This record gives sequence, C-alpha cells and structure tokens, in this order.
Amino acid sequence: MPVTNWRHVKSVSLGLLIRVASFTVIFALLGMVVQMMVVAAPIFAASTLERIDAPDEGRDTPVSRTESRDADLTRRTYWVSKGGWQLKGTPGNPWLWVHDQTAVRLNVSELPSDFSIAQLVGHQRGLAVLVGNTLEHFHFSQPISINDVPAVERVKTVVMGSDIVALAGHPRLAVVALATSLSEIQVVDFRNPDTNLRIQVDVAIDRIVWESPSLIRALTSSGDPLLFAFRATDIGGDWRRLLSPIQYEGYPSEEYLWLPLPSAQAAEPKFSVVPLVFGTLKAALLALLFSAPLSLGCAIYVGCFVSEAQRQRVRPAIDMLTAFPTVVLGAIGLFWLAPRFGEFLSALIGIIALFPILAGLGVFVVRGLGWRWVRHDALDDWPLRLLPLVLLVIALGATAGLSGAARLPGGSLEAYLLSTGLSISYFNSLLVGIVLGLAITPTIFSIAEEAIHAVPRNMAAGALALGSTPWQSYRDVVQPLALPGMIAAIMVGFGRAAGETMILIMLSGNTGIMDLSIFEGLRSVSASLALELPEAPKTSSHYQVLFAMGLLLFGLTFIVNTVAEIIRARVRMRVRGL
Amino acid sequence: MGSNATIRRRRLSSSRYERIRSLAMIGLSASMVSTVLLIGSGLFVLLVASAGDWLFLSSGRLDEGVLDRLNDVFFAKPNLENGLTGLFPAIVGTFSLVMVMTLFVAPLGVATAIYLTEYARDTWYTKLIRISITNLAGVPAIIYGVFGLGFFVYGLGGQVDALFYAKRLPSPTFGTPGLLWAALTLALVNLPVVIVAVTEGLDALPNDLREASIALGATKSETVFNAVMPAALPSVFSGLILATARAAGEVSPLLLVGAVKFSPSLPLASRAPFIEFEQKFMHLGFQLFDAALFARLPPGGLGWVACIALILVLLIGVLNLIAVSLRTAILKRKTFENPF
Amino acid sequence: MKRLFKRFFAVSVLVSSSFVWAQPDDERDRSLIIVGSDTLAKLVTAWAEQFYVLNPTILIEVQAVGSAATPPALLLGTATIGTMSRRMNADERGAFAGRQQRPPIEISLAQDAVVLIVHQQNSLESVSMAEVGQIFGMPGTCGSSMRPVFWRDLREDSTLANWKLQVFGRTATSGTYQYFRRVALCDGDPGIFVNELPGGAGVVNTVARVPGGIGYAATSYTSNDVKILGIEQPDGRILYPDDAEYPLKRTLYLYVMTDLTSESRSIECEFVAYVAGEKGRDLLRDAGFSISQVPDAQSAQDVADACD
Repeated sequence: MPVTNWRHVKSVSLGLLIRVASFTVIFALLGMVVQMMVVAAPIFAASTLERIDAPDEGRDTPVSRTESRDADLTRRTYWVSKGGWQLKGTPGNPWLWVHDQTAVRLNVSELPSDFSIAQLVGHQRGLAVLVGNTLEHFHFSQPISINDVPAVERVKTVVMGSDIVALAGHPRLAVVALATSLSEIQVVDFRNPDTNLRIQVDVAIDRIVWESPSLIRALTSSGDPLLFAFRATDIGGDWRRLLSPIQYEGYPSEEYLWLPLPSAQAAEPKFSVVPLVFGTLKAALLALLFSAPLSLGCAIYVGCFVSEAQRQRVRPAIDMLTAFPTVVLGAIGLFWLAPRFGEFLSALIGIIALFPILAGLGVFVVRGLGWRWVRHDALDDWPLRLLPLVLLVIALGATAGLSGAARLPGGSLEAYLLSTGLSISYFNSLLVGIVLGLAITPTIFSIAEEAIHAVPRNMAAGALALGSTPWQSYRDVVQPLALPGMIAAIMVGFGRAAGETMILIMLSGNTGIMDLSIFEGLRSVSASLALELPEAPKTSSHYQVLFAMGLLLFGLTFIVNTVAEIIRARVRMRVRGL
Repeated sequence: MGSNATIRRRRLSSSRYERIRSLAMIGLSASMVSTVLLIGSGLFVLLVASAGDWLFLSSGRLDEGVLDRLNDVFFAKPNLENGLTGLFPAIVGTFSLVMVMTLFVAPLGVATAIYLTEYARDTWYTKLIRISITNLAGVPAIIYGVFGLGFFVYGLGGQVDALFYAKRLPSPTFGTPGLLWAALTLALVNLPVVIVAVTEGLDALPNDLREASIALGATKSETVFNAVMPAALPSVFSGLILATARAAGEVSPLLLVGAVKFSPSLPLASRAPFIEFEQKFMHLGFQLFDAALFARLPPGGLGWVACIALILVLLIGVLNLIAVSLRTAILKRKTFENPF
Repeated sequence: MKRLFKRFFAVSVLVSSSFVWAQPDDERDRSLIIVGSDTLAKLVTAWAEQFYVLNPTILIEVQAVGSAATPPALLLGTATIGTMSRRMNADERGAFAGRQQRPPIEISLAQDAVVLIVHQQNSLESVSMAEVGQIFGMPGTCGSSMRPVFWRDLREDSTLANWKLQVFGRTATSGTYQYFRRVALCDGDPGIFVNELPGGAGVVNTVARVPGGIGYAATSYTSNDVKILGIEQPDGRILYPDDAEYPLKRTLYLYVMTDLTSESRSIECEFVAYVAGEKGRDLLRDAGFSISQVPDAQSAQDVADACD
C-alpha cells in the first residue's frame, strides 16, 4: 500500500510542477508588458509643483550661486555668445550687444525695452522677459562666426493674470518660476503654457531662486524661506507632445522631430514618435509589397498542387531561407546590394517589363509545338523544370534592363533620374523593402501554406471531377476557404517586418524624415530602440520615451497577432466541419 | 465566395482558354518556388564566392598563404592594421550561449507543452496560455532585449548582487549584462518555438499509447514520463535545434544584454560549474554586426564579412538539416500506425 | 533513438570538455572592464590585447558603443575605465558628487581631429564653417538659410553638379556626434536628413562609395578612399587637420575610477602605467592619434606617477 501512495504523490507533485512551469509563458508576456509600462509611466505624468519642508538629498546637481546670479539679466550682463558679445539690458532702455574687446554696440531690436525683469532660461539658450503682465520667451541661436551676434527670436508669449513680483529662469528647461503680488508661487512652462502650477502662500515673497533643477527657494522678507519641489518631464508634462507637431525653439513652424540629443546640456530634446512610427509602417508595407507575391505564390503551389511526398521535400527547401539570419541579410544588403542598387533596379525593371513579353512568346511557342509538352500532370516537378526557364527570364530581363539603362541619357538609371531631379539615396526605403521582404517570406509562406493545405482535398477533387481545371478548382474552392488564413499570414508577416531591427539599422540610413518617396530613407522604432537604449540614462525622459515606444511596438504586434490568430482559429473551426 | 463552400456558378468549361490559363497560373506559382530557391542558393553562392575570394585570391600581405588566412579567421588577435578578430572565441561564446539557453528552454518548453496536451482541459487559463504563446512568437526580438535588460539585468541581477555579492559593490557581478541573462532572454525568445514543436510531436502520438499505459495501472505522471515522452523525444530535439538556430542568429537582444566586441578570455573555467555565467562573451552574429558597421575592413574587406556570415549560415544550416532529418525520422516511424 | 540520444549526449560532453583546455588555469578575481568611445575602440582593443598578454590573470572586457556610455558605467561601477571623445560635462560630473562618490580621474590621452570627407570624384576641396552648418544642420543652424540640395547649390562648378547631396554622420550616442554638434553646428540641431551610421568606419566606407556623399569622421578612421576637405577661414586661409589651428581638433579623454590613496596598486593603475609607457604610446601613435597635452588635464604619465 505505501508503494501506491508514493506513486500517487509523485504523480500529483509532478503534475503541479508542470502546471507551475507552464505559467512562465503567461508570466513572460505579462511581465514584459508590466515592466515596460512601469518604466514608461513617468513620461505620461503631468508636471507637479508642491510645497516641501526639506529638500531631497542628492537628487539633482545643485545650481551654483554665481549661476543664479548671472542668470538675472535685469540690470547686469552675462557672457552669452562665444564671440565675446555681452547682452546688456536695463528696464526702459533698448537692449544692446556690446563686444567686450572692440566695444562695438549693436541694437537688439527683437527684445522689448519696456521690460521689468529679465532672466536667462534653459542653460543660457533662452531669455524670459517680463513686460507689464506679459511673459515673453526668446531664444538665442549661436552663429558660426564669432564676429556675428547670436540671433534672437521670440518663441512664446504668455499673459499672466496678476502682477508679478519675482521671476527666476530654470537652469535647464524653458521654464520660469515666479511670485505674484497675490502671494502666489507659479511655475510657467513655455513648452506647455496650459500647465497650471500654482501654490498659494500666506507671506509676501521677495525673491525666488532655483536651487537645483527640481527645487525652488522663495525668500521672504520676514521669516524662513519657502521650499517647493518641481517635477517635469522633458516633454513638458504633456504626453500628447509625443504625437502632435510642435514648434520648437528656433523653428519657424510646427514639426514632427525625433532628436533626443543625449548628453546635450544646452539643447532642447525633441521627442516625437510620429516619424519613427511612419518609418516602421513604411518599411513594413514595402516589405509586404515585395514578399506577398513571392510567398503567396509559393504557398499556393506547395499547398495545393503538389503531392504529399514532394511537399515534405519542398517545404524544408523553402524554409532553408530561414537559415539566413537577418544580420546576414542586412550585411549582404549593405555590402553587395546597396553599392549596386541602381544597376539592380534597372535589372529588376527589365525583368518585370520583359516577363509578360516572354510569357506571351512562351505561349506561342508551346502552341506551335503542341500541348503535349505541357500537361497538368507531374506538377511536382514543375519548379525544377521551370528553373532553367526562370533563370533565362531573369538573365534576359536583367541584360535588357541593364542595357536599356545604359542607353538612357546619362548612362545609367541613376544618372537619368538625376537629370529629371529625382535622386536615389544610398540608403533608401526600396532597398529596405526588398531585403526585409526576403526576410519575412518564409514566415508568410509557412502560415499561408498551412492554411491552403488545411482545406480538405475532397472538395478540390470534387471540383476537378466536375470538369474544372486545377486552377479553377483552386480559385473557386480552395482559395475562398483559405483566404482568411492567407490574410492572417500577411498580418503576421507585417508584424515581423514592423519588429525587425538588424536590417533596419543597417540599411535604412536612420534618417528621421517623413517622406513618401521610396527613394529616400526612413527611421524605424526598432532601430532607434537598439541604437539609443543602451546609452540612455535610466532616469532620463529619453529612456522613458524609448520604453513607451517599445510598448507601442509591442502593442502593434500584439494586436496584429491576436487578430491573425482569431482568424486562423475561426478558419480551423470552419474547415473542421467539412 | 459564399460562407459555405459552394462552387461558384460559372461555366465550368474546359475550354482551351481555361486550360491555358490554368497552366499559366500554376506555372507562375511554380516559378515563384523556383525563384525563391534560386534566391536562396544565390545568396549562399554569393557568400561562398566572396569568402573564397578573400581567402584564396586576394593579395593582402604577400607572404600570406591560404592556411595563414584560415588561421586568421579563427585565431587572429585584434590589431591596428586591420579589423580582424579571430572567430574562435565567438564560436565558443555562441556555443556556450546556446548550451545555457537550452538548459533553460528545454524544461520550460517541454513542461508547458505537456501541460497543454496531457493535463489541461479547455478552460480560459489554457486559452490564455495559447494566446500568450502565439503572441510571444510575434513579439520583436528587440523587445525581449528591453525586457531582459530591465528585468533580468537590473532587476534580478541587482537583487542577486545585493544578496550574494554585496562585498564587490558598486562593481556589479550579476547586475550587468552577461552570459546568464543573455541565455535567459534568448530562452524566452525561443520558448514559443520549442512549445509548438513539442506540442506537435505530442499531438501526433496516437491515444492508444496513453490508454494502454493507464490500462496497465500507471499514474498520470508515469504515463507521461515513461510512455509518452520517450516517443515524443525527437520532436523535443527538433524544437531545440530550431531554437539553437535562432539563438545563433538573433543579434538584437544581445545588443542590450550581453555580447561584447572583444573579450580575450572565454566564458569558461576549469572549475565547476565550468561556465562563467556573469561574464560577457563574444557571439558570431554580434561579430558580424560589428564587422559590418564598426570595423575598418582589411583590404578585400567585404570578403572578411562574408567569411563570418558564411560560418554563421553554415552553422545554422547544419542545425536545420539535423532538425529536418529528425522530423522525417519521426514521420517514418509512424507510417504503420497512422496514415499521416 | 535512445542510442542516438546517448551518443549525441556523450559527444557533446566530450566536445564541451575539450574547450576547458583552451583556458589557462587561474583565480580570475581581478577584472578590468573598459567602456566608451567608438573612436578609440580599435586602440583600446589593441591595448587590452597587449595588456592581457602581459597580465594573463586579469579578465578584460571591452565595450565600445559610444562616449555617452562612460559616465553612467563608471557611476554604477559597471566599468572602471572609460574613454570619451569629448570631455565629461558638468551634469555628468555632478552625478558623481550627487551620489557621494569620488569623481573619476581625468586623463587627456591624445589629440584627434574630426574631418569632413567627400568622395574622391568630388571636385570640392574646402568648405567654410558656415557651409558646414548649412549642410549638416537643420535649416537655421549657425544662422544659415537655405540647405544646399544639389552639389551645384554649393559650388556652381562642381563636377557633381546635378547630384544630390547625401549627408552621412554618426548616431546620437556617439561622442563624435556630440562634439560635432557642439562645435560645428553651434549647439544647434543636426539635420534629420543626415544618415546616421553607428560607427566611424561606416561613415568612411559609405562616403567612399557614394559619389554625392559628404560626411564627418575622426581622422583615425579615414583612409585613402576618401578625400579630406580643408576648412576655409574668414581670412581666406584654408586649414587642414595637420594644422595647429584646425577648428575641429579635439582631445580624447581617459577616465579612471581608482583610489589613488589606497595601499595596493590597483589594476587600473597598472593599465594607466602601461598606457603611459613605451608600448602603449607606440600603439597610440600607430592608431593615428597625436600625443598632446591639454593645459588643464593630467597626462597618463602624471597619473601613473601618482599611483606609486
């Protein structure tokens, strides 16, 4: 009896272990989502201002007293330009650039003379000027020549409700802290003027100072200074800035820009996810364009027209394409395809143009020779039999394309296109699309082929028995049933192309432009993640935005895969009943 | 296209036009297969030609022979004249990574597959697992790297350091990318592949096997481990080998969790447990990435990149071939029991 | 099947145990991890290799993904030596103070220049800094106006008049990028149309192949396949990288985390001593850098002396 109990216990405990182990799968999926959400969450937080009693230790680098003092341009000057031009301003008088050595004076017409307080803002790249009850934010652009003065541009104007008593500019961001005559401490973020950060206090404020990028000290005439903690992300506390066009400092119009500018102290980082998502989608769609005909054609043939034995041989042969990891494909694209892209394109055009002609010719030839040469039987061998034909078409088409290109004015396709004003970038979307398409072909093939093969043979055979040709039997019987599966295959392929990293890093040029032309480059989410994440400081907004983008990519592939899986499950149910 | 599989009402004439068209369309799809095969072999030929050209034909240093070149490929030390780094440490590193990864992915994958086929009823929980598997299969590899960096390296690794290696802090032992975390991350990447392969193998087994075992008085776990598993073992291997192929070629997670450009010491030791888990390592795929983008290539440098790519592709190709032959071996075994 | 499995298992055990012989016996409790700039990657790797030969008991790892990696790595202790192709800025230094850690020792290693390169067939010989801002930066950088689209926009008599400019640069985490942005782009924004390539060698390799290409890279990566441009000064002179007043000269730094006051000589000190020594300096010169002295930073020799 103890023997039986022991075996039973073993069985139950092993079963438990197995159940626990199976939990890892869910854990991995959930874990990824949760971890990314936790890291990315702070970027969605709004800016906060709160009164505190004692400052946090070691949070931010403190601002030195000289830096605070020099930021006040109300009556003083400060070295702003590297050419030695000092900015001098006094309330009621026009602003001047004064050269320290030659004592040349230049009027600064952009800055208002009737101001009351002026403070440097954002690591000396901007100036906040109080004119009456209006706060104006100006931006400096450094010139290349030390003999030129920096350009000054108005960025924003914010009208304040009440009189302002004290003003201080943030040492890093385009943010000012101010005290009003109604004993209110307020923080104005020029990037996002809608933020309403104000705290009412009960004493009159004399001066206000930024002790560190997150600490404000308000000095009162009577009693102790008041401390306030300020938190803001690099996107101004408004997550919609990740998606909407923004007019950044020094730019004439609104743009979608991805310029995180890591380790740059004096620059405004630009986090717009839009160009990256655009690039990812563009690459994935182009890849589908090239891959779908190829992989679906293969899937139709192998799934429907081939005997079982041959199918067991051909499927792995096509899967051999997976033996090329995407690094290898990217390297081949970089070293072999990219330098010859113009010629490759001409050859491709030649093949595509010549193909219908050759096909038509082929029909005439076979017609002349008699139809005995081409039959519907022995379909198994067609790929091998057609191999020389395909090779011939490719060779002829390529030669035609290349010689045709040589005959174009300019001597090559690229030169001809240049003369019409169209230039092919070295790293262009078409190149990415071709190589990426090759990479996702096995995936799409595998799923589509399964779907086509799952349709019961008897239905297709029935159509044949009724007199239809094999192709008609496929088109009218098999395809309608397999179509959802093929669509699912394309969706999965799209998901893979969207997530692919190596090919995108090597061949896209990583240019953050949003151009519809296939001859220009692009920048994808995955490549940005791979290139920037290892270096981003863990507490920075850059790191958080990258994780948010990772979440976006994950969400996209999740949706695509789930929909595809639902389609496939439904198809399985349908086909099972037949 | 009706929802039932009705044949479309169309004149089913076997007219000549229809027959030609049928032949043409089938011919077109067959030629797609030819094209794919051509492209595949063309890429391989390109790699072999470039690598061969560099090894045998190009003249670098005049006194260098083919054997010297081959020696360079595997054992060269990095120097300033060229960007060559011997691939032997990378091969060892890749091999170690695959071994450690297999150690993690095999039990988890097999256990989950066993759970899904032998133990589970069709509840929301199993549906959730199946959805998770399909989705994990589709998640971009870079996201695994992101998760691996955050959870394994900084999370788990930081905890391990705090608990066991506190004396060495702030210099991290496990709180930094290394072999163990890379292997764990790749184990997650490959988990869906292994699960699907083992599930397929388990599904293919006839129920008679299980029923006979129960009839003879075996408990559930005895049935599973003594009767079912041995029969499904080949599918476990094919799943593992597919995973191996991916581990050798997937570079993006490694950018974040563990590979380095150069490490002269192999992640091996002469004492137990024979593998240094906290070390960073060199990896074939990473070396290819590095050589393609960062290295100043030696004269005829394209060939060097092709060498690395060729070794990588050959490694993966060999593993794939083994998987295929194992699979056909399973299928051949089943012919007398089950029409397949 | 079982027999095959047993054989396979046996073979793999044998194979993996053979790897054990490849590794010298050691205690391996001393390790040296070097991170940092891609510009110095080749040099540091060569140094690491030689240093390993001289000290086989030390485990060395080299990671070269960009200068920006160095301060966080030194701060967290992930590495003890870091290289940067730009100086550590106040924020990064402040992070050490914020964590109550002693700051890294700064060593000025060598001088390097960032050069502008074009294709060999390009007739362009030199550019002014203003034009550099126009070509590489967003519109408005350094007070520039129109970005040149075709080569004829830059020079009417260009041999590549109808070709479009294709601009190549580094990725944002590279020290060379950050230096170029600060000095050549007047702290402005690099253009989003600039192709970002992860390594300096990549920029050179690509510009060598693209007739309409122009890019920037560290001198140590340039080769004879590309043409190096001179920089026109306002007074008409054209400066080349060898000239002392070339505007894009920069110092390369080595940062070491070590306690100079401790009794025993740390591995980091050994490494610095090696770098300051004959062999280390030879490699430095071979790599194409010039050994120089920046007034307000220490040289490797100074630190090596301080170590003893």
